[in-house]
Amino acid sequence: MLDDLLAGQEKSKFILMQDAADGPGRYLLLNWARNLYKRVGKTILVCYERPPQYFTEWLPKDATGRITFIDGNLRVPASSEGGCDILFEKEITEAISGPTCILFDSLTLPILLRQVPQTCAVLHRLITNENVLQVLALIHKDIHDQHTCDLLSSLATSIVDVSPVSLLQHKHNIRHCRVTGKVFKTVESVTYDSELNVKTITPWTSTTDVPASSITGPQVDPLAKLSFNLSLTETEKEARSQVKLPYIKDIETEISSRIIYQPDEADDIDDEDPDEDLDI
Amino acid sequence: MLAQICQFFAVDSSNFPKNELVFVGDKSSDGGFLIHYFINLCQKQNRPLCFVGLSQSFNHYNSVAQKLGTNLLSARDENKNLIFIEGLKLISECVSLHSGQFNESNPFLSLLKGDSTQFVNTIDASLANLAKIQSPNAPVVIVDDLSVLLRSGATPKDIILLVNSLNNIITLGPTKGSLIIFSSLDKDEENELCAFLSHLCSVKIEITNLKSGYCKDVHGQIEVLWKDSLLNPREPKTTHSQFKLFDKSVELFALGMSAAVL
Repeated sequence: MLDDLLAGQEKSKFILMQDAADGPGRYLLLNWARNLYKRVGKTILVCYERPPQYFTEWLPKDATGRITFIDGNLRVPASSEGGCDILFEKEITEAISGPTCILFDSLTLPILLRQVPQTCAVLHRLITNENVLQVLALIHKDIHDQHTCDLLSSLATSIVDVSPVSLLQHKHNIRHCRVTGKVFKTVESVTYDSELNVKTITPWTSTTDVPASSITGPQVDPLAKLSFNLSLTETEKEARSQVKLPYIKDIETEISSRIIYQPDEADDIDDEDPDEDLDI
Repeated sequence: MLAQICQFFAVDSSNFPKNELVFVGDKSSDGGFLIHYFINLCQKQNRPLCFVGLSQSFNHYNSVAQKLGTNLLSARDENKNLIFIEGLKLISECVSLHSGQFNESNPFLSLLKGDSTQFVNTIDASLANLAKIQSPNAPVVIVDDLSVLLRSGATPKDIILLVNSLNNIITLGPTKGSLIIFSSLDKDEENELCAFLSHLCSVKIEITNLKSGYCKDVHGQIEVLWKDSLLNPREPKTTHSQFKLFDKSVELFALGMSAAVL
């Protein structure tokens, strides 16, 4: 599913990527930007956490002319006071010409500076713009509460939830809603090479999904390859069962006995009732 | 201490940090040695340093630096390559119940009210002053400890905006300097702030206690995660080590390879 979304074979108007600090979604965003500029006439990339130079260093040289960068990072105010167009809606709208895709490298700062419904409203206006083919936004789910993530998820046609497996391997829980309304849910594993290019996209198989037989393998008799004999034949087993063990009582030889107590002089036998003083 | 930590970080001691945003998260009480390491490193390189001391006074850092062989007093007053902002003193002036009159020029006053513009301007002015000494090395700004602001009443949102603004003027500005932020991680309410710093930083250093509890021969565990740099994507790498602190040095060894065990 993820490779279809990356290649543009699966249409999706708004893709929301959710990540956490130990499994950054920025690597996938880089690959997404490269795929978009190749197949779409125009791409607008709004940067908040890394400057445009970060993306131009990684993307091919010819990409820089076809991607419009909006450096949101330098324009984020030091104070939350005063309303400002932190999502640069006007600037983005003016930059849209023909079929366009819009990428946000993080929605964290816009959400912190504006109320979530306002951010959702701006995103909705961008998604419904007839010239916008796709909007992709990254959100850090470990910074925002569940309510914020849910509000943004309600807008999204595809949600890609990134969680780490190792430094260069991430697990992606994908929920994609097709134009027909059919919803697909898949879990896929993505590995990256040292240059952060997507190396493989495979269906996720955890160790719990693997049948027990394939983990342990066929049972092998450990006694089969021994050079000496550790097992018993049937006659030997019968003979063993006949052996009388010394600590087992033999019913025939049991002698009944009783204990006779003979007091000596030192014994102080008191016939009195010890509880006679009690008024029971 | 300098050589051991540089060897563990696998960096050149004459050229580190180079345009990095370093986040030092301390989940134990022993992580302070890294702040003194960075101060010592900057002094050895004769690098311009702006230090925002929020958890200790200047005398504390100077005493430790003298033990490690550097003199912060002469660096501040004579060489002029150190600007020390007495954050602890300035914050205490803001929150003091007995001081009826507040000094409006105190940048922490507006910072605690949610506007970090004045504080960012102070750092910007400090960087401009440091630029006058014409050092070949880019400046470094160290903040110790950011969680003090949170405990003084600033909201995580305000601190996130502050860090973003500091990052803009220090690492992404024309000087291409480095920002080192130290924050203790022992409170749940700091998770939001720490998560943002973890996303934004290019190097994350995390110091934790041993999971098995206190040990007199192993004081803690240190993990360094090299994330993608601020201006160029790079392959992430991580290294782990355990450490034992001494009076003037630190011993770093592989996990489970303490001299006491061997």
